[in-house]
Amino acid sequence: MTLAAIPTALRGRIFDIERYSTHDGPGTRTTLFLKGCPLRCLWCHNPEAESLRPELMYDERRCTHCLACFAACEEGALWLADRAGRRIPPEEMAFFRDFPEQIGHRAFQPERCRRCGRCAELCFAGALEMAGRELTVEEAYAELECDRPFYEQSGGGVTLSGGEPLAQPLFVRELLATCKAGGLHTALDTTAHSRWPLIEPVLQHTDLVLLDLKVMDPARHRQYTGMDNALIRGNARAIAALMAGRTPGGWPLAHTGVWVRVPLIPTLNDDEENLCATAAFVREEMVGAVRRVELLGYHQLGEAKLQRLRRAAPLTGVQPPSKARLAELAGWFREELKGTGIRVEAR
Amino acid sequence: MTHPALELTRTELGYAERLEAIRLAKQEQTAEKQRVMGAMDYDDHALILPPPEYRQLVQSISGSGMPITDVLIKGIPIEATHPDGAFYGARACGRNFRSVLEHHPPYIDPMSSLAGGYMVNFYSYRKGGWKPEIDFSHLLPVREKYQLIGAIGASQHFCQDLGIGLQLGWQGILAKIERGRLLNPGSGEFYDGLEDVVRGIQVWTRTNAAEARRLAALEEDPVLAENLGRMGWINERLVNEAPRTFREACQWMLWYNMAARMYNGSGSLGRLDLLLLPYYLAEREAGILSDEEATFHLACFLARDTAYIQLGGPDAQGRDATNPVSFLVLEAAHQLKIPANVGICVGEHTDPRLLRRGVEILLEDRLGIPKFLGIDRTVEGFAKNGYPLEVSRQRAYSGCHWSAIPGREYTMNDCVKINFAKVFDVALRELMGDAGLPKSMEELWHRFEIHLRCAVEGTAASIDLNLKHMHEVFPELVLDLLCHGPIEKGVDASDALRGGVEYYNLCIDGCALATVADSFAAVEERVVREKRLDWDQLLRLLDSDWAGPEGERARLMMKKIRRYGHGGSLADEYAARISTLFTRLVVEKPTPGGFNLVPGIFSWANTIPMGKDLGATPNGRHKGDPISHGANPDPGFRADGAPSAMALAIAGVQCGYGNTAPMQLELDPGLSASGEDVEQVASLIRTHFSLGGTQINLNILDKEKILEAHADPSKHPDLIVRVTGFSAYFSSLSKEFRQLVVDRLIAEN
Repeated sequence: MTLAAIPTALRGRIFDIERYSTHDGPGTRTTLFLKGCPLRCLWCHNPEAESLRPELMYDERRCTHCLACFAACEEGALWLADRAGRRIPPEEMAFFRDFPEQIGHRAFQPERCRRCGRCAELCFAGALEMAGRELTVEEAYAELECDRPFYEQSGGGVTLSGGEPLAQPLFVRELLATCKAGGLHTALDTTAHSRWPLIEPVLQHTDLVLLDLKVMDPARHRQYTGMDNALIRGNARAIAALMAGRTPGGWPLAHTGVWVRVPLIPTLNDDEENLCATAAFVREEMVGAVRRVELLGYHQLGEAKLQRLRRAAPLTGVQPPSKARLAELAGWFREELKGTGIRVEAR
Repeated sequence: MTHPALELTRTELGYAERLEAIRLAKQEQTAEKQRVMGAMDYDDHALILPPPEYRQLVQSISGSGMPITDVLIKGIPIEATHPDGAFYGARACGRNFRSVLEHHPPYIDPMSSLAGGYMVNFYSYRKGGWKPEIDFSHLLPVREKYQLIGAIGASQHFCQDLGIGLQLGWQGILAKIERGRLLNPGSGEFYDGLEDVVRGIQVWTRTNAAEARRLAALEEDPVLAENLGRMGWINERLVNEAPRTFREACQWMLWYNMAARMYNGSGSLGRLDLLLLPYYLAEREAGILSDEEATFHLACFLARDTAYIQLGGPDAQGRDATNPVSFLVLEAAHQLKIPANVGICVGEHTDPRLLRRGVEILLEDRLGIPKFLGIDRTVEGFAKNGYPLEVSRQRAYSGCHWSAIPGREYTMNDCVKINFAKVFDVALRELMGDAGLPKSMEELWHRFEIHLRCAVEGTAASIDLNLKHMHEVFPELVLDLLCHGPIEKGVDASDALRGGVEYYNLCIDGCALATVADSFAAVEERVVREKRLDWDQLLRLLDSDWAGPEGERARLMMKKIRRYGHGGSLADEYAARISTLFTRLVVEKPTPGGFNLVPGIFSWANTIPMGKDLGATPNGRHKGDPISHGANPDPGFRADGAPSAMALAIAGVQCGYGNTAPMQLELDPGLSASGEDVEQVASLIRTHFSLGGTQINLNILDKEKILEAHADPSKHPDLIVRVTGFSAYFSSLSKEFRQLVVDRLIAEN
C-alpha cells in the first residue's frame, strides 16, 4: 500500500506517543498508545486508556489556581460558587482570583463535560490535561517515522499499544500497513480480547505480537479484569498458529512471532497455580511462535493517574515484587520452558 | 610528604589493594579541599592541599577565567616586576614559576608507582590578569554591551605534543633551548623563561626522588619498599634523561602534566594510547610488562591528573589507531573509579569493541566515564577550514569539548563565549525602543542577526588583541616546551603574529541556544500568531520579571509551547536557524588580524554566571536564572524526555567545522551492564553521530541518590557526575550547580 492510497480521513484516538521506548519490543522503538480497552484490569497503569473518549485529568500539585479553566468552560461542567452559593460568572473570575478565600465551592460535573478541551488549552501550568487526541494515519506515521535512524541502528521499530489497540482495528490496520510499506518493524501489544475477523487483518501487517497473559483461570480472570478469558485463549492459539507459520521477512527470528507478557501482581496472580497454568499454556498451546516470555513486575505508576482522573484506586496495599522475587520467578519459568528455546526476562 | 597512613593490613599488597588505598586517599583529599576551599564548580583536578602550616587562602581567577577560592603555599618568594605589584612576561613568569617548583613540597604515595602530586595554582600568585599599559578600552563598549566572555587574557586550552618530551627528556629540551638561543638572540627573555621552567621541574623531580628514597629506607612492607626504591631511582634518571620504559613514560608525562596544571591549568593530554604504545609493545615482547602492571601505572597516572584523553580514532591516513593501550586506559579508569576525562572515538572505522567496552564501563560504574567522540564528524568538519584530511585527523581530543593538533595548533578553545540570550535581549529592546517601526518576527530576527554579527566582530577583535599581546602578559612557557616552533623560533605559541606554532584556529562558542530558540518561538506563537499578549505587554512582563499572578500565568503560557528538542516544533526551526546564522557569521571572515575562527556550541560552567547577568527572557525564564546548557534543549522539553528526540535536535544544530556541540544526556538508571542494555546505549551513540553529532557526555544517575546527595552532599562523597564536559565529585559542586544537574535529571526522568 502506498502512502497516497491511505484514506486520510481515517482517524484514530490516542493518548500518548512515547519516543525512545526500550521495553516494548526489540531495539529502540516509538510506542503509540491508543485509547479504549474492553478490560478493566485492577492493576492497570494506564487508566486513562480505558475509555475511547477523551478524559480530563487534573494534577492538583501543578495548579496555580488562576481559575482560567472555570472562566473557559461554556458547558457549565466546571464552575465556582461564592460563599453564598451563587454561581460565579466568568466576568467576575478576576476578583475571586485575587481573593480566593471568597470562593465557596469548586465543582466539576463530568456529565456536562463535552470534552472540548478549552480548559486544558488554557491551563498553562499543565495541571489540566485532556487525555486523548485524534490524528489521521498520515499524521501518526509522520510522528512514528521521526526516529527511523534509531530503529535502523538498534533493530527497533514501532509498537502500537494502549489500552487495547484492537479496539480501533481499522485505524490500527491501516497504520501498521503504512509502517510496513515504509520498511519499519511493527509490533502489536495486545490482550487479544477482540473478534478474530478484526484481529487477522491487523496481523497481516504485524511482525511481532506482544501478547498479555494475565490470569489463566476464567473466574479469576473475570474477577481481576472484568472479562473472562475464553476469547483471549482462543485468539492466543490462533495468533500463535498464524505467527508460527510466518517467515521472518528479513527481521531476526527473535524479533518476530510472539513475545508473551505476564504481569506479576503480588497476591493476585503470582501464585503457583496461575504461573503453572501460564507456563503450560505457552509450552503446549503456543509452541512454535513464542520467542520470549517477559515477566513484568507490578508498579504503582497508575495510582497517580487515577488521582488525576479523580477515580478511586481499585487496588490498594499491593507492593511491587522485589528484584529477588522477579529473579526467582524468572528462574522458575526458564526451568518450565526448558528445551523450548524461549527466552525469559523479568523486569 | 606522604599521605596519612591507611587502615590496611600490611600483607602482600596487590595492585587492587593499592588502587583502593589511592582511591580512598583521593576521597580524603577531596573532602579536605571542600572544607578549606568550599565549592568547586570546575573540573575535579588532582590538586592536593599543601600541609596546613603552608596554606594561605586567596581569591583568584582560574585558568578558565572563573573566580575561585584558592590555596597558596606560603613563603614562596615571588618577584614582582611591574609597578602594579604583578609580574608579566616570559622572564618574570619563568623565574617565579621556577621558584614555586623549587619550593614545592614533595608528595609520595607509597601505594602508587608514580611519584608526585601538585599543590598549587601558579595563576593565583599572579596579581594582574592583564598588563595595564596594554589598552583595550576601545573594546569595552562592545564587550559590555553583549557581555562577551573570555578571549582577553585567555591561556592554555590547546594541546602540546608529549612525543617531543618522551623523545628528548629534560636534558634534550634544555639542549634545544640552547640551540634556540644561538639562532634567535633577540629572544633571550623568552628562552630564560623556558629554561627556568625546565630547571624548576628538574629540581621538583629530584626533590621527590630523594623523598621516595628516604621513605624506601623507612618502609617495612617489602612490596612498598621495593616500589619506593625503584620510584626514587626512576625519578633521579628522569631529571635529565628521556624515559625508556612504560612506567618511566607515565612518570615523565605526569611531571609534565602536573607542571602544566600548576602553571596555567592546562589539562590537555591527547592520544595517550598512541604515546605509550611503543613502550608497551617493546616491553610486552620482552616479557617484562603485564597488562595488569600497565593498567596499574595508568591508574596511578589518572589518580594524579584528570587530563583529557582521546582513545582510538584514525591515524593521519585514516586507519583506525585503536590498540591494546586504548583498552588498558579504559580499564585503569574503571578500576580507579574517580573523576576522569577519558574520551573514546566512535566512527565508521573505529574498532567497535572500544565503544562496547566503554559503554559497559559506563553502565557498570555509573560515573559518567568515558565520554564519546564523534570522530568522523569532527574530522570532516575541521577539514572544511581548508585542511587536508591528513591534518584534520591529527586533531586530538584534549579538553572539555575540544580538540587541537598536538604541538602545532593554537586554539583558545573553551575560552571564548557569546551569550545568544544577551544578544537577543539587546535586539528585542532595540526593536521595542524604535517607536516608528512595526514590530514583527522578521524585524526581531533581522536585529538579532545584526547584533550577533557585532558580538562576533567584537569577539574577533578581542581574540586579535590576545594573539598580539598575551605573550607579553603571561606566555605559555610550559606548553611551549612541547610544541613545534616556539623553541625553534624563540616565539611563544600564543604569539600569532610571529607564528609561534603552525596553525591558529580560534574557537568561539555560542551559548544559551535553547533559551533563545524557545524565546523566539514563544514570541512568534503567543504574541504574533495567537495575540495573547502584545509586544509592549511582553516587555513589561520581562522588565517586571513576570511579577504577580498575571505575570506568572503569562510566564507559564510562554513556557508551554512546543520547545526546542520536541521535534518538528517552531523552536526546533529557530534553533537550527540560530546555529546556521552563528556558524555563517563566524566562518565568513577571519579576525581583523587574519586568523581563522571556528564555531562551536558549549557553555561549560558559564550557565550560571551568564544567567546571573541577564534579565527575564520570553521563554519563561526568570531574571538571573541560569541560561540553557550548551546545545541541550531545556529540561522538560518533552514529557517522555526521549533521548532520541534530544539526539536528533542536537545533531541538527551542529556547526560543522570541527568544533563540537556536545549532547549532555542523563540515562535511565534502570539500565544495567547487560548485553541488551549495552547495545541499546551503543546504538544511541552511533545514531547520534551518524546524524551529525560530535560529542556525547552521559550520566546514569539514580534520582533518589542524587536528591539525597543534593540535600546533604556528605551522604554520597564518592558520587561522580559528568557536569558539562568535565567530571567532578557531586559533593564538590556549589548548591547552584548541583541544582542544575538535579533539574536535568528530574525533568528527563
